[in-house]
Order: sequence, then C-alpha cells, then structure tokens
Amino acid sequence: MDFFAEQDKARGKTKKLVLLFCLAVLCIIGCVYALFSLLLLQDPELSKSAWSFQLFAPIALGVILIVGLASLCRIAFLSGGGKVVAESLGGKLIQPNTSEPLEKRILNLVEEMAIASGAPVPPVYLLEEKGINAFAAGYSPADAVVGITRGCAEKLNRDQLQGVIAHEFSHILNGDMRLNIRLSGIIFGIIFLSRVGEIMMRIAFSSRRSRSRNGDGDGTPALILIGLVLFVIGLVGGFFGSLIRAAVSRQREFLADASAVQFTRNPDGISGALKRIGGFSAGSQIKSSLAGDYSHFFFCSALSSLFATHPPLPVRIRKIEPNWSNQYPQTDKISQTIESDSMLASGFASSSVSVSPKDHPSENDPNRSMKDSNASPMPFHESLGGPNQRNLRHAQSMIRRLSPTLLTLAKEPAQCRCIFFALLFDSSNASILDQQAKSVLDLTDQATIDLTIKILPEIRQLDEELKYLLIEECSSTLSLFSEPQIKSFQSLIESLIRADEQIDLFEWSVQKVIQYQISQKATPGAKALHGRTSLKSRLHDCSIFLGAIAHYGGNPENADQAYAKGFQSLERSAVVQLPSVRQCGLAAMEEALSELSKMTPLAKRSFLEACSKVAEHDGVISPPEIQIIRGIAAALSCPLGPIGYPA
Amino acid sequence: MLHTLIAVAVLLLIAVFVVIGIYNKLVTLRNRFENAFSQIEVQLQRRYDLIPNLIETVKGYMAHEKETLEAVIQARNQAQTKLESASRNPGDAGAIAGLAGAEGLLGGALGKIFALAESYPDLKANQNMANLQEELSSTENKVAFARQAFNDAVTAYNTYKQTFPPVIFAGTFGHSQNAALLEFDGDEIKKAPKVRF
Repeated sequence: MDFFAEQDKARGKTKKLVLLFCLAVLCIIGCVYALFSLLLLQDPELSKSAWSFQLFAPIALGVILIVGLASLCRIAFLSGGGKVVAESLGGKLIQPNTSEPLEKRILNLVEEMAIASGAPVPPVYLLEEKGINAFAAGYSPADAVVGITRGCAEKLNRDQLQGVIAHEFSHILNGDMRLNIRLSGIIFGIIFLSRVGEIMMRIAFSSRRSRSRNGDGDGTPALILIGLVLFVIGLVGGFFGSLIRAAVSRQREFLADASAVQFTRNPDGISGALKRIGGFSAGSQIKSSLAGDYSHFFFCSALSSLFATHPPLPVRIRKIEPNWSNQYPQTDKISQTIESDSMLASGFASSSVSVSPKDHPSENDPNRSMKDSNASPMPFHESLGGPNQRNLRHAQSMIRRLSPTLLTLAKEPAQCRCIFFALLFDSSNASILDQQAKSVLDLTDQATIDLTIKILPEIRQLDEELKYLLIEECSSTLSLFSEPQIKSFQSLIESLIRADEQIDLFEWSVQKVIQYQISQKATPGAKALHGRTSLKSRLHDCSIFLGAIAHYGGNPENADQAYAKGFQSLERSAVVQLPSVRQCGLAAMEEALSELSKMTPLAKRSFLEACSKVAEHDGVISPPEIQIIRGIAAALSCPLGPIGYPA
Repeated sequence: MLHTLIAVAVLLLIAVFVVIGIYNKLVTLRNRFENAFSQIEVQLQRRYDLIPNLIETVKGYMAHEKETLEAVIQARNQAQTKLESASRNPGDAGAIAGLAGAEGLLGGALGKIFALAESYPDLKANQNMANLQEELSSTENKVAFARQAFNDAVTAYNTYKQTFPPVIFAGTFGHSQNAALLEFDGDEIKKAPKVRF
C-alpha cells in the first residue's frame, strides 16, 4: 500500500463517481419526463404540452435542483471535518491528558501509528456502545478523527487494538473518507427525491380534504401523482445507489485489512479482533440512530442488512488467516482478564495523583526485546507512503527518547503552548529573547512564561527530528483550543517568528508544520489537497528545493553531485542547472511551494523522493535537511514518517 | 399552475434545507461545549485529588486548626458532588452555577489554609508541601485555560441560538435554554490560591 498511489487512485474513482452520478441524474430526469408526458397525454386539453421542451425544462431544472442541493448540503455537512461526524454520533472526546488506563492505552496506540505514518495525531472519540467497533472520519489526514467504542476498548488486547487502529489509519491515508463523503452525499441527494415526493403527496391529500369540503376539487390528483412518481424514483435510485456504495465500501475494507497487516506485520492482531467480534453477543452493533448513515465509516458492519458495507466476518478472517478453524472465542467472558492485562500493560499500577506520562510499548510487549536492534538510521525514503512495522518500532523508540515531562506538557492544552514558544525563542540574542518573552506575556500569563523559560534548556538539546516529533505530539491537544484561543496562539507564533525581523530555516518549517495542522482543523476541505499539475511542468520549482537541500544540507563542495543525483531520479531527459545559493532563498522557496502544492500526489511523491536522495547523498541527514523536508511535506499535505536520526 | 407549483416546491425545499442545517449546527455546537467541559473536569478532578494529600501533609503541623482543615475537606467534597452533577449536564445553568459557587467556597477555604501556613516555618520547609503547591498552582492555570475554551464554546452556541433564523427553531429542537458560562467569582480563585508563605 502506498499513500500517494492510493490518493491518485481515489481521485480517479471520484471522477468515475461524478460521471455515474451525472448519468443517474439524467436517467431520473428522463424517467420523470416520460412519466409526465404519458400522464398529460391522457388529458385531451393538456396533451399538447406533452413531449415538449416546455415540460422538459422545468422538470430537468427541478430534479437537478433537488438532487444537487441535497447532495451539496450533505457533503458540506460531512466535510465539516471528522469532528462533526464523531460529535453527531455522540462520541465523547478522550482528553489527551486523561489518566484512565483504558483511554490512555488507546491514545498511545493511535499516537504511535500516527507518528509512524507521519500524519498528525488525530483526536480520539469514545462511543459509549457495547459492540466492538471503530471508525475514522474526516476530510484529510490533518483533520481526521478516530472513534472507538467502549466495547472495543474493553474487549480487545493491545495487539488487536493496534490492528483495528491500523485498519482505520489505512482509511485515513487512502483517502477513503473523502470518497465516502461524496458517495453518501450523492445517495442522500437521490433518496431526498423520495422525501420530496412524500411531502408533496401529504400536502395534496390534506388540501384535497379541505377542498372537497368547499366543493371544488381539481389539480390535486396531479400533485399526488407527481409526488408518487418522485417517491418511487427516489427509492429505486437510492436502492441502487446504496448497492453501489456497499460494493465500493467492501473493496475498501479488504484493502484496509490488508494494510493493517502490512502496517503492523502482525496478522494475529487484526484477525484476533475480528474473531472476538464474531464471538461477542453484542457483535459490532452501534445503537446510535445515525449508525445507518455512517455505516461505511466503521470498522465492522454497524447494522446487519442486505446493504452490508462490509464483507462478512468469516470471509475477512479467512483472507488474513487462510486456515482458520471457524471457531470464535467466547468474548463475553473475556473482559476481566483483558482489563487487568491492560492495567499491567499501561504501567498504571498505583500512581494516584501524578499522571505517569507514558507507557508506550508495554512491559509485556513481545516487540520490546527488538527495540534496540534498529538503532541504525533509517533510510529516509522508507518513511514515505505509509507506516510499516519498522516505522512503528522507530516511532516507539523515538517517543521513548523524549522526556516524560515534555510528553506530559504536550498533552496539556494550557502548557503545550510553552513547547512551541520554547522552540521559537531565540537564545543567541538576549534583546530579541526579551522582546519575544514580552509578546508572550502580553497574550498569556506569568505562569506560561515561567514554564517556557524552565523547559528552554531541555528543548534546545533535542535532536532536530525529536523537535518535530514533539510538535506532532501536541497536535491532538491543539484541537482542544477554542477558536479565539487558536487565533491568538497563531498570531503569537507569528510575532515570535518575526521578532528578529528575519525568518530562518527552522522557523520557516515550524511555521509550515503548524499551519498545516491548524488550518486543516479549522476549515477542513477549504483548500484542495492536491492538484493536477504534472512534474514535468514544474521542474524549475523542484530544482530550487533540491538546490537548497544540496547547498545548506551538506558539504558545499559536494552540492553539485548531490543535486545531480536527486535531479536524475526526478527526470532524466531534461536538465535544470543547480541554482546558485542566492536563488534558493526562502522567498524563492515560498514561491515555488505554492506551485508545487498543485501537483498530483504521485508527482509529489517523486519530488519528495528526489529530495531524500539529495539529503542522503553524503550518508548523513543534517538538521537543515530535516527542516527543509519537513517544511515541504507539511506544505504539500503529505504525511511523512520518522526520518533517520543521527545514530 | 405548473409554474407556481414548482416555485412553491423550490421555496419549500430551500426552507427544509435551512432547517436541517440549523438543527445539525445546534447539535454540533452543543456537543462541542460539552466536550470542552470534560477538559475542565479533568483539571478540577486533579485538583480535588490533590487536596487530601495536602490535608495529610498539613495535618501534622496544624493540629490546632482542625476546623479549618475540616472546612476544606467539606468544601472539596461538595465541589466534587457539584462537578459530578455539572458534568452530567454541562448545558444546565443551575448545575454550572452550583459548581461555580462550590469552587468559590473551596478557593476561600484553601486560601485560609495557605494564609495560616505562613506562621509554620517547619511546614514551609517541607518538600512535600512545596511540591503540592507547585502542582496546585499549575493546575489552577490549566483550569483557567480550559475554562476559557469552554466559555468560548458556550458563547458560540448561545450566540448562534439567538440569531435569526435559528432563534425560531431553537426551542422546538430542544435548545430553549441558554448554556451558562462558568465564571468563578471571588478573586482568590481567579488567581492561583495564594501559595506563597
């Protein structure tokens, strides 16, 4: 599985869907038109207007209006971000600083998976449902949320839960959620026709009753008929639409299952989870009245019906585990043992007051013994395109390198701001530091500034890659901010960056990363994630970044070589000379970025790969290289897993 | 005939969409401030958990101040109950006001202890006490921040509810009551409880 290829395919699919949708609307218009004409032919007075443009135009207009408006409304609602879906399903946000072991375990698993895949850590919602189920919703990785039922949290062990979460992340990374949103919107539009028909019939019947009392009755039978026609067409259209949706959705589920195995390299996890659902009396049911509308978002069918959006359990298990014995475990009885197991796993024995910060890989985690075997730097391009087991371990070991205090701070809404401030404080220049401290104090309080100063030395010692990891750790906490809080935070960040009246590379890239995470959360779907521009037409813009990495990243004398290596992987036929250092300034980079963000996902992939080739040329990935690449990835809305860190 | 019918149908349709939109938005906004409340809950709960430790530490030194200590425990327990009832329904103005009142009392009682602690030099030197103070004051900050987020979310909900057209439907959809802001009156709570001695 590959993020970029799947994104590309998803776009293709969306095109096909839009085409199908237009066809469906045309068919509906045709049907309504034909039925009306036949009706009018029965009446000698009106038969003139049958099969005429006068009839066709209003019908076409009406149908397009109804279906189009309904679809757009639905899509707009669902595109409000994953938050909206989770909230309307009644999900309760798990606070990042929770101290409940079960919730903590979920958060840790989600965090590891997010860091391994390079997506911002999504907020997690808990649904108070008995069934074992989970869902992912949102428009893009940056505004995605993950939802987990209480049953899922209580009945599954760590590996199984990891499998479920990997499955959901595959939906997030593959762009399935956007596809789902559009599909649901279209089907809603068509079904809405039948509602309109129903309303029309009701109105007709009630007015007929009142009119018959007055003694004159005319026109109402026509209204009833129109209503009936719309009702039937809407239902039939909706029926076929749902069938198509279910078929598409089932394919995506198989893909997500396969991806989950690929991410975790642990088929037992996901198959174990599926088996426990099979052996559970509550199964995967969701009791919320909206479950039907969102059935395709879930891990496992929320409802059992003809329109199953998920393949049957045994089929899914067999795909992962071909010689499965057909036996389900007795999940109903499992709860207690798992509960204690999770307590042990999360290392929450008895700390009552102070929240012990991290449990990451648990003491009894079988993977633990291998954790130190991969201390060698990881090839950077390996972290492109989705997590794998190695990324996952890498993420775990990186999280462990952060100090517990910092991790606790990252999960506290009031205090995670200090991390950003400390990252941006200029320690080399006392007067600028003073000015920065003052602007922080203006918008916050004394305690915030004290804490920032306190953690400053520790932050400064962090490896480049760990700084970005820390920012990512904060991302789910940022979603707790209210709108005014986000705004004041953003303007504060800006003023800190501009305090010395120049922007350095690190500030530039941190700004990009924050922008990417915040703007997507504030207005999901406002900007297209990817465009249609090909790589060939943007070679010049690419060369600026390759040049920048070559110049700033390694030995200047080898810049030519490094650049050539990267450019070759990008394009063999044409050649753009290495731009001079002056041409690779931040202003030029900024300009080039806005063009590059319009490229197709696959073009972005090749570009990021070329960047990595330049960075890896001398065998060392230096801080400027990490900064540039992180900045690019964020600005291009590409998830980027952990990069190799200095051994 | 046909034309007026279509015109009426289109108007009706648009009206239906507007109403659906209003309903969804009301639900979303309410869920949002309810979720914001749970962040306050996390922080307040942490504070309530710290208080028994504080009492335990102080008890040995302040043997004569039994009443003050008991007042704190009582205030804490009451605040705990109020928090529970507020967290069941953060939209209920009465529950929120009850919580604010109980918090005010607790803040006052705590302030008293800290003022008294001034006159016990041994207590001032106690490492445990210093840690607790540090924890309490930083929790106070977190509460303030979470409260700001909650109040912003409540304001967004109330404002939306009172604008036109939502104001027509809010009552029908079960959003008749304004949600209450959580304000702690009494300055001793706005600042961290005085922990200097």
